[in-house]
Amino acid sequence: MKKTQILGLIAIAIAIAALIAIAGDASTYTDFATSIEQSNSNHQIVGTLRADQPIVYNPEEDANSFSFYMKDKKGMTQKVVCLQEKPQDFERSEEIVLTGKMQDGVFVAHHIQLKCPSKYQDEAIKTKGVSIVSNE
Amino acid sequence: MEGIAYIGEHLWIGQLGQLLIFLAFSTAILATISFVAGTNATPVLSDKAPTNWRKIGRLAFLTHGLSIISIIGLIFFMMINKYYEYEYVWAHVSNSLPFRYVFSAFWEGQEGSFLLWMFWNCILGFALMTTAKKWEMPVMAVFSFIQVFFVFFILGLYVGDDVRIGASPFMLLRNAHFAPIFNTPNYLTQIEGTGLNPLLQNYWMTIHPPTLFLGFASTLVPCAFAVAGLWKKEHRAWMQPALKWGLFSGAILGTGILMGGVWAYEALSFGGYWAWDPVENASLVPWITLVAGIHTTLVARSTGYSIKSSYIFYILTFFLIVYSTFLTRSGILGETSVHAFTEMGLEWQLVIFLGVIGLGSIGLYWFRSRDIPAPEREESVYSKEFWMFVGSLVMLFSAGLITATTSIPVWNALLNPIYELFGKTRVNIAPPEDVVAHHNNFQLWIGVLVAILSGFSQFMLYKKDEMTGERLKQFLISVGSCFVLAIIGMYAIMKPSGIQAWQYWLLVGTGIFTILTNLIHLFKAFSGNVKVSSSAIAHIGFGLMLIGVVFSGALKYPLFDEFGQIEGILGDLNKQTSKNTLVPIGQTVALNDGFSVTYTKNWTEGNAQIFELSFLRKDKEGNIIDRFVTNPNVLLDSLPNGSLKFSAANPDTKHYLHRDVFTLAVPNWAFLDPVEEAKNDTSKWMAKHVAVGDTFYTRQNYIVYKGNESTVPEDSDNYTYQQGDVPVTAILEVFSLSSGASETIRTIYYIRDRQQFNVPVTVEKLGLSVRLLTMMPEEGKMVFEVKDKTPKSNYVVVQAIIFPGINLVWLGCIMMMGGLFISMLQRMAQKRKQQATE
Repeated sequence: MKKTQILGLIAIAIAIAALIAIAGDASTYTDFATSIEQSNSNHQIVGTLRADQPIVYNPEEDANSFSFYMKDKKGMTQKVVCLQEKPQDFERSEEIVLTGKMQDGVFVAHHIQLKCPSKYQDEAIKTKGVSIVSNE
Repeated sequence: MEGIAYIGEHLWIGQLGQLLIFLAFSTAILATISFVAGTNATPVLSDKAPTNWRKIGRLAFLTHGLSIISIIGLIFFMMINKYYEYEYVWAHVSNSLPFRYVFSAFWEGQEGSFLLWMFWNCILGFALMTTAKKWEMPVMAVFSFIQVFFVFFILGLYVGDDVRIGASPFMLLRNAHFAPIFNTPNYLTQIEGTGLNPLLQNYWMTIHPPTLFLGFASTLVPCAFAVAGLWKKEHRAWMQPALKWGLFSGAILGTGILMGGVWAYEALSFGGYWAWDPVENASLVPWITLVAGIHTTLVARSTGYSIKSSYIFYILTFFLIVYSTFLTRSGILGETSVHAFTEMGLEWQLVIFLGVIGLGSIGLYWFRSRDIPAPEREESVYSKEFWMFVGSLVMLFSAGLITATTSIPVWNALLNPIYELFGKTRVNIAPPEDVVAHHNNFQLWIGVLVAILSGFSQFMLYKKDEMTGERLKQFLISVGSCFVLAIIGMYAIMKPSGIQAWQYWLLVGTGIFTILTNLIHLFKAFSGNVKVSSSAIAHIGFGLMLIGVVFSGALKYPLFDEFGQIEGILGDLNKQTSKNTLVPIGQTVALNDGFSVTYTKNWTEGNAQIFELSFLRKDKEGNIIDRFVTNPNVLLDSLPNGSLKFSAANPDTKHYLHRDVFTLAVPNWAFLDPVEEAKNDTSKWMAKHVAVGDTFYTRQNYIVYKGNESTVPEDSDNYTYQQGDVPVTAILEVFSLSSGASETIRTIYYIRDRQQFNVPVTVEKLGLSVRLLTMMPEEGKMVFEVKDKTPKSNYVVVQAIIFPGINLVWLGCIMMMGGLFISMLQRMAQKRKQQATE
């Protein structure tokens, strides 16, 4: 066999191994119900902020955690404690992705990612004094 | 809203702009046709070949370029004059936006950044028309063809009511939004722009996008030469200009990526320079394939091997640039990226663009692949070309691995229709839970392999089939001594650092190895062979970067976390727990590692509040060994009700040669909603039974009950005398326990219609409220109720993170880009010399 062919075979083997490794690393988005069932493992859950529920960040007590309520895509609401400071514009977030697990009835997230609305959407047309929301 | 005669609009600009867009579009098509026809009309490429197609093409592309520049000029004109009738102006500038941010505002949006890209394409096109000589027509055909697609993105043409081709920057606000305000003809006098996102109001936003987009645009040049080579079967000649431009592109694109990292680290609150975010990856991956292409071209130019892979790498690079544009601009990344654009209705245009480039280049390559020359005999394992090819393959792996993970949302989008077809449930693959650790674990091995390969292959020569005798001896001595020195160096550096993971030891060791071998090369360069100096500089830079990445990543720790001093365990380098601490004003908080921080003061400058944090570091004996001050700040908006709205935090970093102390401060008011605050006033009234002359205490004050005023109080907002009232005014003197400040206050109590009423008094500066609740005549006492308002606490939440060895990262990256750049200059000088001798 030619060296390039051997090299090619090795390359393909490594590539397949790496892709399997990536597939193994990849997870799936789940929901709160699943995270309660499988409380030993980490879960990534997509949902929206419940604006009607309290969002608590009190740096005087603990600057490294804040809590809020999130509704997952299946409609279940769950209290979440996130182990970091409250991100900027948190209240405006359109969608939240949490990574963490259930602990004592609370979803403890060690990572949070927000999707914030772009400037183009739902932007109030700022007038001098009053603000008029466009109704697209 | 039809038929309203709006006042004050400047519609001519939009009409002119739209006309220029159509002109740019049609001239791009004309230029494409002319250059394609011209290329096909000349059987053998030559700059002397007389053809009218060249003239038409040049004229068309020139008109196209001038149109694009005029469009940009018009948008600037609109932005500077604040013509808010245009959506793009309204969305990106505001009356309060300083003039220096007008460039940033221009390329903040999709349309503006596409125009910036097109601008560079035109400039590069002009450069190629003057320098590409015989390559001009095929290369410009590619450029013009690509420009057609770019103009598509800003065309703003409506087909029917729903289908829109491209988003025009000249769209009117009243056509983009529907709001009642547009019923008034003079709506323009009432509106204000929304302005530039405060996070982007900084000078990095002025210099980073133009550099990055020049990088993006310039990847098209080597790709265009590759297409020209395939097209005209000039399988060797195309590589000379392609290599020169590839080096240019690599240096610029790399600098753009580096600037993004520095920006994230220096000016944003991310607390790091690289987070493997999909948007970052999207620009890194093409750079990696471009560098791989540069290496295979070097091989191909010296040996004739690797011509095919050179073709593939350059075309792949441009394809990946467009793919990364698709990822970041189509909205498909959605929940996986922090800073992707959201959907703008350009998804399908991007997919078509991608499809045309992908299928077109695969088709062209397949059609020509049998013609591409390759030496009969294989590369020998003793030759430099063999190992450089292996190195390029490693880089291709790196690119593939990053892309596979970054594209997870694309897998979802591709797989789900197939799953549905077979009646299976939809999948929803998520990225790895810890993306940073995931990428680091893979790319660490790429780093190790590239370092080893770039280390020993420097001692090898092109076109040598065997290694025997003196050459073998020299090779073994050089590599062997560098290997031994690398192990010693690794031990000397890693042992005191406390890093335990052997993978990091390996990475640092191989980094040192490549630095040493390339240093030897650099010395050789000084003693004669100047040509190798650029590659030695770049590879030394790579080695330094590896060491810097290990130290700044594995040993980075927040100064607040008792468990923060990571022992270098392999894992998430960006684990961000317990990095915040609260520092009240005037107070000192002890941190770990002998540091302490005092929040001394704050002040306001324009729309920024600046904090002064004094850091002090003591050794174990308590001697002060270091002190420094940082001034992180936050940007704020003042709301009409007088309260402040937090908009962005900017860090301040103390730089040392061996490490940085990164500091970020967010003030208390940023976390509070003033309206909510008032509602949540939880302090309670406390009753005090006191006689005249008594003193009583609250939490923060003490109060002396002086006596009563017998006269009827004057009318005020809170009390108006009515016939039959029995009013009592108590006089109290309040003393602050902390400051000693005092104030005399009067509070009114009255009986009206046999009912008791009181008027509470609040002393803002002492945080005290008092009311006279009732009288107890039998005991000669009064019942007062007091409450201390919780004092408005004044504090900042501080992050302070140590980044050891970060300067090695910057130095290493700068050397890599410098190496590419020097190599380009050397090649240009060489060519000039050649031409002079011809």
